Amino acid sequence: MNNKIIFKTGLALASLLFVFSSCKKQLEIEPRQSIEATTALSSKDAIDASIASIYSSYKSARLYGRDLIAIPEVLADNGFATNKSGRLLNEANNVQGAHFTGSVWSIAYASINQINNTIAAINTGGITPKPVQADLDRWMGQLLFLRGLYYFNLVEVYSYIPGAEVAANDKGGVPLSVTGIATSTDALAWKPSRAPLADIYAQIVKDLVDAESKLTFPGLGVNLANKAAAQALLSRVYLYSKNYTESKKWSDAVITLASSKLATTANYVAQWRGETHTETLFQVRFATPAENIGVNESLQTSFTTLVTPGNQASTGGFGDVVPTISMLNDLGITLTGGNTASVYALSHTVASRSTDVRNLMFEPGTAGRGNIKVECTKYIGKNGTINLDNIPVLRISEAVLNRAEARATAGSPVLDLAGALTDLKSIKSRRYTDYTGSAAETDDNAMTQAQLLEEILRQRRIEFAFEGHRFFDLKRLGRDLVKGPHYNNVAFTDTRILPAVPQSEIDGNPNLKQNVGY
Amino acid sequence: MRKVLSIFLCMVLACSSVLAQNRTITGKISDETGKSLEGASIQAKGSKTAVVTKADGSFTIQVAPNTKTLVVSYVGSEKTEIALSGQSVYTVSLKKKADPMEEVVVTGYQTRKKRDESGAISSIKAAQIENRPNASLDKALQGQAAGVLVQAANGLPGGAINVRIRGQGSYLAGNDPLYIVDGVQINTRSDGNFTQNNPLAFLNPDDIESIDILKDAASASIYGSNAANGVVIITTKKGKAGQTKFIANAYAGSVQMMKKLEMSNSQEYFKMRAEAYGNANNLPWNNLAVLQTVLNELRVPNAATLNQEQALVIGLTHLPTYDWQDAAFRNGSIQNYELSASGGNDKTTFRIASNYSSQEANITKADFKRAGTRFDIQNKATDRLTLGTSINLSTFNQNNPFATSGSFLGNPAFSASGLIPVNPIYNPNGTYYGVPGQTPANLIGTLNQNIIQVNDLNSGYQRTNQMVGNVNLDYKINNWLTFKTLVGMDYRLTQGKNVRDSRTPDGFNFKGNVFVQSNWNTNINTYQTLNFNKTFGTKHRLDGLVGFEMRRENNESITANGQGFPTYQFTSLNNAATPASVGEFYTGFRRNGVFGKVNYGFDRKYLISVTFRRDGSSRFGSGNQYGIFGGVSGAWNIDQENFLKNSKVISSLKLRGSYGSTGGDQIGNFDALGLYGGGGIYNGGSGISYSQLANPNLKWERNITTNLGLDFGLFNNRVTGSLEVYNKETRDLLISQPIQSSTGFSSITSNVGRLTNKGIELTLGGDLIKSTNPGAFNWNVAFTFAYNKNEVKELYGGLKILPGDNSVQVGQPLGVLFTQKFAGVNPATGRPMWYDTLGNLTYQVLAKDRKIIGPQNIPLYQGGLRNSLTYKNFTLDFFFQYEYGRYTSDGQANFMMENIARINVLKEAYDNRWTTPGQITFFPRYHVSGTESKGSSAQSGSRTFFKANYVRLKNVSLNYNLSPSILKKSGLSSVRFYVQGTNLWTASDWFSYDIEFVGSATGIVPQTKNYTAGVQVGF
Repeated sequence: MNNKIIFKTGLALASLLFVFSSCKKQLEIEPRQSIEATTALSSKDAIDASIASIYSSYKSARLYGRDLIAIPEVLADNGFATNKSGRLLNEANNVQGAHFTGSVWSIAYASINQINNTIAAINTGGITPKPVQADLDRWMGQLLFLRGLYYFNLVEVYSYIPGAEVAANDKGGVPLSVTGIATSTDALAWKPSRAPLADIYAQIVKDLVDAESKLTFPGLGVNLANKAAAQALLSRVYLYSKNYTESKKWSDAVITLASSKLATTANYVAQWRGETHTETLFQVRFATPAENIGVNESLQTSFTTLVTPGNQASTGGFGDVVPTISMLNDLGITLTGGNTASVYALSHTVASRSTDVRNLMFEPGTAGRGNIKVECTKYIGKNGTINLDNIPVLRISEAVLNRAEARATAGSPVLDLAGALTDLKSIKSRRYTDYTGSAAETDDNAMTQAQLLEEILRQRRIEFAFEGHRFFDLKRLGRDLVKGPHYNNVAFTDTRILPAVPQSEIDGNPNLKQNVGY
Repeated sequence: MRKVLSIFLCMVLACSSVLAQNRTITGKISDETGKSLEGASIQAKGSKTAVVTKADGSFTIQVAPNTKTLVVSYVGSEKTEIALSGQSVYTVSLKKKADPMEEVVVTGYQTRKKRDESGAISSIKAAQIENRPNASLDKALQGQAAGVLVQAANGLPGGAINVRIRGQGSYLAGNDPLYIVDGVQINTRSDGNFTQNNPLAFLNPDDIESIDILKDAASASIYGSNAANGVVIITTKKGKAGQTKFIANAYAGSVQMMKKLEMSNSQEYFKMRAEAYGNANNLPWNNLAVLQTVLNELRVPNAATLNQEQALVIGLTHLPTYDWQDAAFRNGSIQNYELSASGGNDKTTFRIASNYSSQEANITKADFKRAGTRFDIQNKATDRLTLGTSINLSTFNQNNPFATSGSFLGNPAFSASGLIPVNPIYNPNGTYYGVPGQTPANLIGTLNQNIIQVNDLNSGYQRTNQMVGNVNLDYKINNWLTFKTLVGMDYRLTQGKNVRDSRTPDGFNFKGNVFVQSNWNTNINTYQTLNFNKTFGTKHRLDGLVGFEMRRENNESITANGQGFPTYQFTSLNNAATPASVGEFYTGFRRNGVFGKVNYGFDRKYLISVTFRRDGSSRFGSGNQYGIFGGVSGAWNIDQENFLKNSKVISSLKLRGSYGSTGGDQIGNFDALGLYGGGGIYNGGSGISYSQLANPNLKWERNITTNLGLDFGLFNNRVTGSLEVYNKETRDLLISQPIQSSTGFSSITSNVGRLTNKGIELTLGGDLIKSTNPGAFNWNVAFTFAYNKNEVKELYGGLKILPGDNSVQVGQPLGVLFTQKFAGVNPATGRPMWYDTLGNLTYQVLAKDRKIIGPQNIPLYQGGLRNSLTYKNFTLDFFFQYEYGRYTSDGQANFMMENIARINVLKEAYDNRWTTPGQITFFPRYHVSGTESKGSSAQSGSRTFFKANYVRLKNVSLNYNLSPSILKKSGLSSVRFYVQGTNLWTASDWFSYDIEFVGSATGIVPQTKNYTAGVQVGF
């Protein structure tokens, strides 16, 4: 070939490639397991999928997957940390900083933003195929219920509860937003302060009341939001904020709707062994093996070493948290050697039990992780696989105890000791095999208001043992954490009642106030 | 023979001095190729008598009778001495003088002579890395080039390596250099799920001819976008024209534990556990209830019925101690076999090389086996057209360890030391002790898995098949212009399987748990360049190139997990009762660029070069995909100036300077986009959620480097070296910018920050002992030293500390250790203490008490020292590397010095624990909760961080080359025997397995000592 031709060809080829290089198309590449955000929420399926993700976040071990259930037990007086894996040890010891983590904050706000963006997408009306009213009610009912519950989780964890504040340590509620953030400009500009506690509770109530009006019962079933769940949560939120009239009102509503679900002494154990407890109004469901939290942090592993009830030969989890002596006393369990605790680390088995069927949820674990302890078996792989359990969030018996407390609390506008006693008995008769007609019943009939309230609270402790209520119940009542003989007591005025707001939020935002002591 | 000669010579000289008459010596001087040299000077040593050779190389000189030696010198050749004997005619061929400045370096898309190059480039030659038992080439770089920090993440053969050129230039964007093997840009993803897979393990390091590292921006900017962290250009061995040469090489050896940890025995464990219970319950350790509790834990029968005396006797004398480290660690073997053939004629040259390499870790079952073949063919189709191809095919198979790192109970590297030593390994009948399905079903303590059983029964592998190849074409358009094109491909398929056997704790409850993975990565790059090289007159020389390059990479994988197998013999997913999960993943990127470079040299004295590149990357926002990078550099070869030409001291001297910019885009492939992704599953439905906010403003991170360099050679280049000073500034630093998580997002990828790396690099080499006599003793040393200071200069919004990551602080190096300062153990109480903001002692740390302790990621000083000693046919090489000036925390050691006694601890920690008031110690009293009431965990703050300084004898090798006279008889062209040792000695006070690690050392396979012996035969 002629040199010149080659030269020209070479140059032509090179310049062609130069042109090609500036072609933008060549740099185009699309992700496959994600899609463009701006058009993601444009179909009915997309809205349903978005809502699924909001429920799914509740499965996190930082929320109902473990922390919202296990940490309230150890921070308060129910749980003793066995140190079998080393987990929850510092929480049980109330070490400063060992508390709920910043993940409650980040996961809850991610879900709230998802809710806000989904509501915005629904409201733009650009959804295809066009949703009918039933779709809108189903979506909005669930989204508002979930937003109410997430804000409730945030504010019960990071703030004081109305009517039980320590003024010197009170920094208010949490940041409040009901509009979605969908651009980085908005996200960078978002420097919130903590909204007043009252504003947060008002928003929770507003969302739940709206949700209640849009939802039905049994409606979508107990794995999803439903009317009874919204009512039960309203009953709890009002009880926490000491609005006893409204708490009773919503308790009345849900008891009317669902009191038939109350378990009895005859079926109590069976209910906890089945996938879904009949009393459940709302639970977080774990269905497939892929949803399994696993051997480190599931509730089963946190609370028991057993794989199946009664089989001490097979060790599964760690059994990191077991009932304290005072919890065992309330449960009516006496250990071999008595309920003393000079060195609570010794192996223990059950010497005797009261007639309370609830203590059947507690039994000796295995020797596989060290000394045998009496452990809680409410979560024991009920869904068919080890470490896979549905987690009840709202049960009908809570509404009964909420109403009892609303009626029995001194100064309550709906003070009604007889009614409170009736509510208390409706629980006790379903829990103690020999309660009706017993001496205990006679004693209960003679209780003063103060005694009645204490008994209601004691029953609440037993009924919801290892279900994540205890710390919040003590906190909303402004009570000290009495942790002897295992640990030192923590006064309600102590800064360790509140966890730290994530430090990174404080570092990046001068408007946001950290809780005291961090 | 030589000795005899010299004795003879002495005798002759002795005689001649008596005779005292002038002698006439004649002879002929030629160069190595036999060409006669005109103008060589011949001088009688010790006198002024000198002559020069004629055109035919001949000379005649009259010397005094006592003259013993003639000195021959010629420009560009080594000075040679002629020892005069009785004869009067001598023929001498002069050896060409080794001139480091005339060595070839590979720069971007060009090869140039070092003298003509003005950038900061380090070169490593084959001899420096040959026959080392390294699975991948990055490990071979260790300590070899100044400013190139290479840290092994662990001792897994074929495992991850951390390479940093001139410090850490980026926070979010990666800090890995760009690797180019024969023009192919290599993907540096590690996609193995089950064991580490090093993307550079495909290449047998023995196939490497040279490695050139472009360190300054002016050199690297020709690679623009990818070059922010430096460029490592690897050139493989090629065939040479001539008779076909075969080289067979084989070595084998052993992998051994560098160090076994000295742990407490069962008696000591018993006592520490009793103290832990006692201290937590305000009881003495020998309280009966405490003793019973501990013995009961240790499975002593009827512990609760013992009295105090009995309990103490059992606890302090009867408990057996089992050594789990001995059971878990092993001596592994190394084997490596290579065979290559190279040769060709003036038209076609080729090289074919095959290798098989096998290396076992010192812990079951991790290993690395590679088989590979390379083909290199170059063909001169015409005078102008050269075609070539290089193809490297390799397959490597790695057996998975239970875990590559981490505090997994079944991970032998983690648990072997911490297991409570009272646990037997086997039952008396030889079966495993403490495994599921038996009584007891597990071991005593938190570490409750029988790691020997777990590792014997679990199985799994990872197989990587990789093809890296290129096709290239050079067309000489005319005598100064060449068109080059290259198409390269790096294709990798990684497949793996991991079986949690149903007899082991992690598989028992699932009835077997099996994971599989398949990942394929297709990475293609191509470039076309026009290279020019023209001389104007005698002194002006212009060379350079313009070109275009593009690269695309696609990565896809599928994963699956099944559970519920009929029996342990079944491990195929086909037999799983429950398909637990499936997954699919895709990612990729695109890049393209145009570039050009012009080098101008005047008289090979004054050099200047200009580089330009415009690059596009798919990773950035649509408006910011393109970035422009460039550089200018200049150099002055001072030694070519007349005033130095005849210097006896300075044989070469060059001053270099450069300024340029490179880009960084090592962020997530889709970080600029606003995305909705998978949002988990719930109640049978699959969710979606807003996973990432868009940042359309995302753009290139830019590194601006100023570099000053001085290359020198002294005393006939007997001492050579170079000194570099640089300032590398990273602008538009890519940061994962934290945003208020109450937005629902935690961060967005942004360009908001600035940091600098300033440093000094020194390379010194020299012949400590150099003899002109062949076969005499020679000692050559090469020393590298690098100092790098990293400093964050600026963050967005005037922030001094990056929210969410307080190791990023303005005025401090990236990854600074910022925590509460440990103040020791209170001698009165045995409780750990820290300093608060006011410098007072506190038991409880608070966020505000944090302060800066020191740099954590990258050492301040590092380098290496190589010694090469030759005598006759022996060569002894030994090589030290060192690091100084960083703090690190060893996760494994942290577990081994806990004060909880939930696992076993180091004997040193036990011996020095606080027991009595007044005792000054580092180790607080034992406490079963680990944390005292109203106190912080003993592991808080700076207590677990230590200075990570060390000097290590990295490699020693002894070679023996068979002498040519013996070879002649055997018909072989070369035979070399060698023995090597790796990691033989370390000066460091590190108290865990090994100081050489990156990240947390928790449960990693530690580095090993290797011994190998081999033979290389050429025929």
